[in-house]
Amino acid sequence: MTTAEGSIARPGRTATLLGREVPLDPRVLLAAAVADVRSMPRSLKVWLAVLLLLMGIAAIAALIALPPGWEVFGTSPSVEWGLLIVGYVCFAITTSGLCLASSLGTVFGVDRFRPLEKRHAILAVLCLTSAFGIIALDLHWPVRLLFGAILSPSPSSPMWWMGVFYGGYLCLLLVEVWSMFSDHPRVHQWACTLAACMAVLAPATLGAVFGVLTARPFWHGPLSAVWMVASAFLAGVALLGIVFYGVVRLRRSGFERAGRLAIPALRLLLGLGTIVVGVLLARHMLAGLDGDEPGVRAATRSVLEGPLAPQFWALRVGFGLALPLLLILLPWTRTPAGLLVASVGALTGVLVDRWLFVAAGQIAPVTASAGVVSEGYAPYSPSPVEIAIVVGAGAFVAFGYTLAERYLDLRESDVHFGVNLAPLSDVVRWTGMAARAELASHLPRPGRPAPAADGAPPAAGHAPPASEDGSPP
Amino acid sequence: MTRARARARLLRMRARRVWKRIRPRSRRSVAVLAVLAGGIALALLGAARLGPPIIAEYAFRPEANAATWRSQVPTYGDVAMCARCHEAQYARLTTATHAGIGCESCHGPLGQHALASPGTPEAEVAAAVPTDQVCASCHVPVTGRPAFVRQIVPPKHYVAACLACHDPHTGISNRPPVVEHTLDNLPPCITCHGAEGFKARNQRHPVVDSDDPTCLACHLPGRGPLPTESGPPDQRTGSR
Amino acid sequence: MNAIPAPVERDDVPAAPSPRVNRRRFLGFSLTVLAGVAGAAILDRLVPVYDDEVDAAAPLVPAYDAASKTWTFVVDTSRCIGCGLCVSACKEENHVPDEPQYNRTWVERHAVSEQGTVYVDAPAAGIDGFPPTSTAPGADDAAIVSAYFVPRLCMQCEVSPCTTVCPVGATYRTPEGVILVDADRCIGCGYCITACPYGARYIVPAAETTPQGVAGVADKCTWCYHRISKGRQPACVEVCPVGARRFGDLGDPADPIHEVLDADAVEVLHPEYGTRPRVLYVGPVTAEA
Repeated sequence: MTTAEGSIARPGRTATLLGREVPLDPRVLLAAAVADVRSMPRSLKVWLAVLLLLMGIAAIAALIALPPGWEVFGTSPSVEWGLLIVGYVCFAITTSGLCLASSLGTVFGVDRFRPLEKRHAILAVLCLTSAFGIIALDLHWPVRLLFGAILSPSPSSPMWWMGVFYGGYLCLLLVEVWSMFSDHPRVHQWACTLAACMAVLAPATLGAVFGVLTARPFWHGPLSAVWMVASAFLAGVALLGIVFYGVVRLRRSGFERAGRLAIPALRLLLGLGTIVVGVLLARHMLAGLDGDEPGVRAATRSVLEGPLAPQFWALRVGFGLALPLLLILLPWTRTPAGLLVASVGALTGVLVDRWLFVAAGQIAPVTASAGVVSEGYAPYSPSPVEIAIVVGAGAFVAFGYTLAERYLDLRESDVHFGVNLAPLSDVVRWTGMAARAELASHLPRPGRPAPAADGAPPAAGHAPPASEDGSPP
Repeated sequence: MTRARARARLLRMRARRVWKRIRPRSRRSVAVLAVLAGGIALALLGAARLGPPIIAEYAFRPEANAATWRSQVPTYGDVAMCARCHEAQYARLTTATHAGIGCESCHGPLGQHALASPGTPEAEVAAAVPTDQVCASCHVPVTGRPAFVRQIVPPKHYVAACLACHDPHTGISNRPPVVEHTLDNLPPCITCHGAEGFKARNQRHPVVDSDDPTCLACHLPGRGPLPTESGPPDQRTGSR
Repeated sequence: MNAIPAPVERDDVPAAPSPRVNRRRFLGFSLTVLAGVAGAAILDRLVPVYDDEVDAAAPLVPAYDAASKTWTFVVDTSRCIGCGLCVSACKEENHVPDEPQYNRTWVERHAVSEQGTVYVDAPAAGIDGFPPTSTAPGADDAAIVSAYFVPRLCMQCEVSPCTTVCPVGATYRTPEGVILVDADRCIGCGYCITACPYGARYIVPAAETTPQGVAGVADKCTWCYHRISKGRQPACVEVCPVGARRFGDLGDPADPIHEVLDADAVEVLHPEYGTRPRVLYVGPVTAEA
């Protein structure tokens, strides 16, 4: 009712959104936004315009790809999973990696990882939103997934569990962001802790989506899940490395502690992640060459010396592993700029790695239909629509994060609680008591035909105590 | 009764204690979240139970879907359906080398044709008349093709038009070539017929009296295989 | 909202709040309707329509008892002549897209060289038969010592990866052991296609539909479920001129399928995947099949 008289001079009603007062009147909001854009430095305007352009192209591509526009994808029955699946995997694991890295500060309370707290949460929400957007475009009937996953669940499918974990993860992340800006430290603590647990479960399940497939020997195996979690960690750390370089360079809020604590901390994590992922990669390749199955050998060959070899050696190994490791190990490149290059390299490496993983798993055809066997390798190259969608998803993350950096207070919060397990222990205690009481009401008591009303303890030592009958302690 | 009441009181007390642990300023948010979550759960359950069929029937029912698969109308019929009307062809099919081959292998899908009552448009749809291409799909040599199916090399075979000589229902060549020519003043037979084609064809035909020295080198007059095995059709057109 | 007076059109009081409110309400209402229409249009493309209505066409075998059947499919590679009639019949019968990469069944030629290398070719899935010599790369230079044709189709595995991995349970096994896809519930994620070791599945392209009229969902060989439940043979078996494909009920002692099974050694393709395939092979079959 009051909005009718709202004007620029009188902001009218406002709502608190992520710690900021936001006017509810759309005209006021628009005017404020226009004024703010006018006040932006030129470089920021260009940056945002480029991102908006990329997002616009992606939006057009998404409209083209809406059902029944699937033919614009470059996939085929032999290579059913293409660049969109790769994009989904990359954004999803990056989300998890962000939480894994920052949990050292938010969950385990290590001081030098605290500066990651707010920035990682914003990035994680944006990345996961992008991941869900990409997968919705990849699915041919996305709405059916919502109905089907809830109304006819399929617990035997790793993909169903992945949906459960990533869906729950998104909820936790939203709670985390909300509690972070609305000063609910205990809720925040719990959300961070649970999100960190989910950050292990979710990419591991995503790895299992590939790992359970006996039909694709290059993917098959329990270590696919481990590799996926390690890649997630590395991707998250690398993205944080890029962002924190920007924070220090552009002297954003909290840059002193970021430069002093976060940059060296991230450098350490990046080094560890690169080594772990490198070892897992080497293991995978050696196992593939040593394997007896013809499919896995053909797939590994395709990566090492076949059509995927240039990307593997140049981007994955050279730019993605060797260069970051070198920059981290050499004393004179231990600078924020060195970290930036190392992070870009590592992130590119993980993205290319996931691309090679998905592509190589399908490159050795399982069927000889349509002369595919005569080809030797199953052909797939991403279509422009697929590329536009994935690039646009990345632009969305960058755009959203730039806005967050401009409008939100991303300094680390002052108050930090340790993990308070008291509520959990209460739950455990009560569950145990209830179970014991349940047992007590069913077990015949020796020498007592009827349940005792006086609350006297029974004779046998292992019989449950009668606390249920009496008053609580 | 008192026991249940005590238990209820205990639960209430515990709930209150949990509620007290939540900071006063957070309580509203927690309550909103709880109501929201409960509402969504109720709405979903309610929709699945009572909602419009779109949602209510979603709960997966394989039997119903299997029934939709079963109700699909076949395009192809089967041999038994053809045999009901086309007895003569069926009888020939079952007696010779083409025995065991279904009608629709060569004639294409006939499900609608077979189900239609005589006189209706569907029944008038003529079955595809097989071409020589159909014969060639089985009877030309191809790497991997087992030898039990007779294989011919078309350029070396007598004429390219299969059905000019062969009854497709039996597979047997029931008459000699329609080309008739004298046997006098000709180059050696092999010049035109080729060794293989001549040989293959000749097995089913009487060796006739000839002055051709090339033939006589192997086939003395009257020495060739006689048409004793599969009946007399070869005799119909007499000697050449 | 009670505070807003009844809408009155009065041009003489432009500054009065009520017309402004009304105009805004009208605009807002229009925008809402527009957004609703746009949303409905998008939803219409996205939201599935579930149609489990059974067609009125009554089966020819009215008392078909699914649970009593133990259907078995036997492929005899020593008899297959690679004519391709089965491939084209399957496409006709089951509304399979014409493009050679979409097949419910197909035929491969395996040419084995002296060194034991198996050259596999299947030009256009074998629908038009095969050229005289193998088209697989390298086969020209190899000394081929034996060759044979291998008809392929869905193995209707007893331990089926496809039904295991489907996130919404849209693919399932019937009582007879035939694995079907519910085209109204499939989300088209492609997981079953990557999970199938036999390459027996494909996603129906947008320009085509499954027999139920749905595009963009997984489709596969059903052993011609609509035919076998009417007492007929699958279309590929019906048209096979040499009896390389046989189909019958193992539970029926009088079924001729027993003759084939009793006479020859039976194997399955890719036993190493542990899926317990239910299509049995008689005759030469290599490990790379």
